[in-house]
Amino acid sequence: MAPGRGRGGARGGGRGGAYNAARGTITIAGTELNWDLSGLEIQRAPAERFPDAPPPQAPPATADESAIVQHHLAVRDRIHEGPFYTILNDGMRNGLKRKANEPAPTEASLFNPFTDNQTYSSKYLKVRRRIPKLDSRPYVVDLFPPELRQILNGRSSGESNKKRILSVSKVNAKSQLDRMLNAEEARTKEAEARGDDDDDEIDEDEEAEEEESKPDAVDEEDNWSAVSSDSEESDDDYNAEQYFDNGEDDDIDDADPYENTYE
Amino acid sequence: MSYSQRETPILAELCTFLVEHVYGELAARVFSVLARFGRQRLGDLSRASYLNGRQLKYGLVILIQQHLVFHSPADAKYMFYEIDWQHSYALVRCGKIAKLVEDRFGKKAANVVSNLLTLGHTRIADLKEAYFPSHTDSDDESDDGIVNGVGLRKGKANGTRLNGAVEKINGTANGKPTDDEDAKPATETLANGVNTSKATSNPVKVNGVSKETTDRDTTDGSEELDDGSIGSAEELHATIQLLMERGWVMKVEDAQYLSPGDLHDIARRQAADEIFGGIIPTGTKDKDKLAAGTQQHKRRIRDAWLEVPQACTRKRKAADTDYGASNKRVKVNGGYGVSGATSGNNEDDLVVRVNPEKIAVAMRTEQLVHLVEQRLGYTTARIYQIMLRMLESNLARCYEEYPDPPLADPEKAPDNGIDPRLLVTTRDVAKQTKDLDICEGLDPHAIAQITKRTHVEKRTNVLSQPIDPSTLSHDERVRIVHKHISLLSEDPFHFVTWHTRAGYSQWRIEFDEIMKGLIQHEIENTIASRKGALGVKLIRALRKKGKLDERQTCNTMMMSANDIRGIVNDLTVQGFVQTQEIPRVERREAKHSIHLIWYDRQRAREKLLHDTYKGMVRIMQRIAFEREKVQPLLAKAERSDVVGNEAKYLSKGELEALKKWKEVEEKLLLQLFREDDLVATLRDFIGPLVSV
Repeated sequence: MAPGRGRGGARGGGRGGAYNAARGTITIAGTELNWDLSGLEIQRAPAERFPDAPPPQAPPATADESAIVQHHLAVRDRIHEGPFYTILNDGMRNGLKRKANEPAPTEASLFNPFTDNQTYSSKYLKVRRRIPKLDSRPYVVDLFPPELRQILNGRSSGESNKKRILSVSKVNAKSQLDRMLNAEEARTKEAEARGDDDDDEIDEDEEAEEEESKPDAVDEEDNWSAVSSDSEESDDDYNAEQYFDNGEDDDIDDADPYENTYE
Repeated sequence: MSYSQRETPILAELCTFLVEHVYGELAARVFSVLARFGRQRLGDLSRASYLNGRQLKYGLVILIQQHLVFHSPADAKYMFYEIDWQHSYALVRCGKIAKLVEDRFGKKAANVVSNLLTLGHTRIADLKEAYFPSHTDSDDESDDGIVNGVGLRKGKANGTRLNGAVEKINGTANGKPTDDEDAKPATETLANGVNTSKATSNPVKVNGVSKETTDRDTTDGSEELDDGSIGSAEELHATIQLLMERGWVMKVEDAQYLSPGDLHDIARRQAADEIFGGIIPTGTKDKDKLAAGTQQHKRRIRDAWLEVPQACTRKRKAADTDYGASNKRVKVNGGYGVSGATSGNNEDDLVVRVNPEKIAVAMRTEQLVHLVEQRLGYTTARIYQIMLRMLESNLARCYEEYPDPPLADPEKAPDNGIDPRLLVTTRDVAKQTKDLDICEGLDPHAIAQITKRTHVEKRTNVLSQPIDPSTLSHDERVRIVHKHISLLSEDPFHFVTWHTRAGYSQWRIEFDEIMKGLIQHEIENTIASRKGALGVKLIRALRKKGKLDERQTCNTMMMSANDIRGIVNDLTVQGFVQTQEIPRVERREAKHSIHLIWYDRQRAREKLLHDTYKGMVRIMQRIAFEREKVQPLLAKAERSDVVGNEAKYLSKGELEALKKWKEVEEKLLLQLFREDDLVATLRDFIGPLVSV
């Protein structure tokens, strides 16, 4: 193709990308191309600065891989339910000292006004340890450095009557979330056929257990829960809170009006 | 710039996240201080941290119990603590470890191992007490079964089955409580019901071939045998014994808590005592000798951990007759399948834990099998898996961490030959292929030639008459398996190497060479996905030719300089291509210098490893972020009144959100474990490579 024709085309079009249908040539950025591009839409607008680029998707898990994930979750959840798992919730990111210019986390700054307001149901909240419960299992004390043996030994002499036993799972446990969702699915099917009275009995048993097995760290800051649970246990019929409890529940779950009746 | 102002090393950050993910905040806070400042005393720790003394001590107890920190020997003047990054990193593998054990030894062993992982190290006696409390008669077992439900992993491929076969025929006497997970028929319950121990065998269809399952032990009337629960104390002992013999579980000794530096000092002192009578020598030759002696002592200390106490082995064998119900079972289970003997105190006092080095060996097996499956097909991969698993029990670790220093001239090195335990014969492999359609995945001509009962159709290139692999004679089987192994040896990776003609043909596996190839493969995969085929071409050209300047690069790659420059720049920035500038004249001018580029496998490996760690850190951060989003909901789902009553208290939307969170978490963890596989390939399977 002759360059002269290309320049002519460009001039005729008056724009950078001129298309001359009569000659079947196209000029893009000053270069004349001889291809027949009829029917091709040329993008005249400037290119998008951040074009939509979907990220590459990982292939789905194979059977082996999902088994690995399940095993991991099972082991992790058991550790989380065990005596070593702690949550400090003190607003620090790591164990280092605060820098001098960083403000110390205050009660107010740690308080989330949307979720942290105490409601009646917060007495059921799962309590996380702030300090590990070391006296629940046996240790091989010789393997620990002398300065730490104190902690391991000191407790055991105090309550020598209580036997320390490792907690093991005897079957390959499921992860907690799984258990929750599965139990849930099974229950929705037979939800209507359930006897309500049984439910409530179980509930109360669980609560009683929960109170007993609470670690000591709780009592220091959660005295409100102690009060309300006392009233619960004492079967106080004149307790106003209990009255409201029933009312609230009816609002949340109107599927079964007799669900929360106490006998 | 002082050290504390610098960014935290990425691996330390990753390990801290992992510790927090598994053991919670207190342990992670203490760990983070140690990771940041290195070797510290308790006093230094409390100075560097905002935590109080009690918190620090409690945190350290957790970390020590789980082997996440080292500490100085108990008789040292000052007690120093130091993180054990290898074990902390290994937290990411706990699911994988349980899975690997389950594939090889069945669910019971997996259960024991996952308990060991949960508890850190433990005395066998304590573990037994926990499984079978002496006062109560394990009455809550059935409860457990209901709550925790049926095993999740039923529809697995026949990995376990295959492995069962490995155990069965493996020359050494090794019994084990295999439990077969695929088949859970009523016969099992029946056997339990009558409370006899008899070997059941169920024909199961696998790959279209009917075969006999491996025997299982139905030794006691526990109703959850199928779930992989341990039925009796003897069974527990037998399981631990088996795991110890195979090297999956090892003794715990004080020396395992020594940091590398302390271990080196002690080994060096021992070597000096032994060789030079306690005097540290000064001469160069003597120093070399001392270094060699130190390494030798380190190896000796380490190998002592893996020794299995002999006493219990003997006891097991003697006791086996108590349960010897059928001849078959005795034969199959060899020595220690089940033992009725009460075990001695000696054994109960033993402290055990999971051996991390063995995990790497097993992961290597899995990855190689996976690679072969991609390259050569399913059947060949299974045969390779059989070979690798036969070797696995003889391989304590992937590479020697404390090698002897290289000799001055390699020719003089004594040629030890190859340890016969690292060789596999075709015949042994063929014996274990009963449940495999071994005719699959081969050239039909080869099969026609071997079996002589059929021929290949000219046009369609298929056998005129299909061969039933179960009717093959032993000799034919061996020859067909040999064809598969030949495929393996002819692959560019050279998955196996021919050794001698013993047992039809005897093979060894050159792990080091394969692993170097595998690392290169991973690097090329990464570059291919980042820069496309041209990047890989550049890397390969540089690898072949060494250091090149621009013109030579153009000639080698047969491309113009303009096309190459962009890729060279990108790969240099990413750290995969190294550059060098050599001045030609006295004044260092860019114009008068030679600019060379080259590729270094070790550096590329480290860079990729670093990038992978970074990716893992981001996944951990993402998990934390996603959890933060659903935290109120999770807290609600965990409430004591909600647990067990989810339908009553959780709305449909909340259940949906819970399900979604579960999916998100699993997806992220899956990606984490995949990246961990890459880390294993890059880091754990072979020691540092010598730079070229």
